Amino acid sequence: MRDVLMREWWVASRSLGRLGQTLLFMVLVLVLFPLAISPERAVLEQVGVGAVWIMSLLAMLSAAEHSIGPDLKSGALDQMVLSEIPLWWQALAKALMHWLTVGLPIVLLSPIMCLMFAVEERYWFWITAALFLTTPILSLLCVLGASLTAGLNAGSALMPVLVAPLMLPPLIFGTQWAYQMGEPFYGYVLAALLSLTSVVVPWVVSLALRVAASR
Amino acid sequence: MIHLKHITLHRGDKALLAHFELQVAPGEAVQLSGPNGVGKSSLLRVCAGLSDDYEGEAILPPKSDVLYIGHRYGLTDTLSAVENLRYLLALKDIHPAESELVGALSEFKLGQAMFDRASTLSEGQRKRIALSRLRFSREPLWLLDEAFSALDQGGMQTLAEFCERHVEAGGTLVFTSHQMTALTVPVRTIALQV
Repeated sequence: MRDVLMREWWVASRSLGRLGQTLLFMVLVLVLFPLAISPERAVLEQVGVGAVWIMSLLAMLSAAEHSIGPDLKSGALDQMVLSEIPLWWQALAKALMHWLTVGLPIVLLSPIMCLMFAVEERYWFWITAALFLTTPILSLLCVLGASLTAGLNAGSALMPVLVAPLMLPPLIFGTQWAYQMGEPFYGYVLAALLSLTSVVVPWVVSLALRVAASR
Repeated sequence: MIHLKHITLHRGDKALLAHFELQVAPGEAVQLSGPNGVGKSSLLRVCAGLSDDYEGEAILPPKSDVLYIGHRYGLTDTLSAVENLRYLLALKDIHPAESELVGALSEFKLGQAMFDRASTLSEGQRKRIALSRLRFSREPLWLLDEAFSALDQGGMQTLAEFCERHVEAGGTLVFTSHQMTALTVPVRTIALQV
């Protein structure tokens, strides 16, 4: 199992160029935001948290395609299906690496993004904390979307449409947790969502991968 | 080992094979031959349990008994040959030492290329990486899709020796090929027709 984890880490980390592109795109949009709307502090403060969240979500979605598509094309998926190692575990490894290479950098970048949007300092900690809890959920959902649309012609167009509704709960509760500065209720809901997705999603992904390999 | 009863395969709306029967006994070597597009690869995927896109009944061994190397070798472009081999074997819960991996790749004459990323290697070299895992195989059933193509004379010789040793040791071999392949063990050839 360790070898599988290492492989997924290498696959994810050796394409840092593509990853940099994703994050760069995200930061670029965030820079353009104040220029396009208004540089006024009051306006920025209002849209800031939401903008950070939406950009994180889009960045994670755009990186998701690469977690399954290449394996299907190269035939590695066949070997994964025929493997002794449970498919759900391999799916979990993929989600973990997606989080480590896209989710975690977003969490680490979040104070800088807060600074750019002149978000009041008392919110900073909670925004980072909320992203820390939300991004793993999003990573799992991204891998789910990638597995369900792997091998479809219109897959890359279909995936965001398919996954976006599922991303609404973590989006809503995550932003609320940050806005309410750590109101426990929202934190509990986020933790519950994370537990739920980390159990259900790998299992669904394993079914989807089996179907994708058999097409 | 394998028993296919009345198997019908489709590609789109077109029927590839109709009411196909195949029985492979343990320790047998079977070659599926026939022109391109006749359904050899699809049939092999059915035998591997990878495809359920067929009509009929297929009695297959459990997936832990199957070694399948398709026409797509399952290599990861960003990994080196050694890393690729280690991963493919780890999926089958086989964990050889680094020196054994290098030894297996050397047997297929990969040379220094074994430390380069797989994406920089030629088709023949990539095939050699995939085939290097045969040395570690514990699976009684080998399914090799077009294994002998893209290899040079030496590579074909090495592969043939592996196959012969496998069958002599009681293993089962099913492979597809449209050329005549010279093995020293008896091979039953099944010609698929359109």
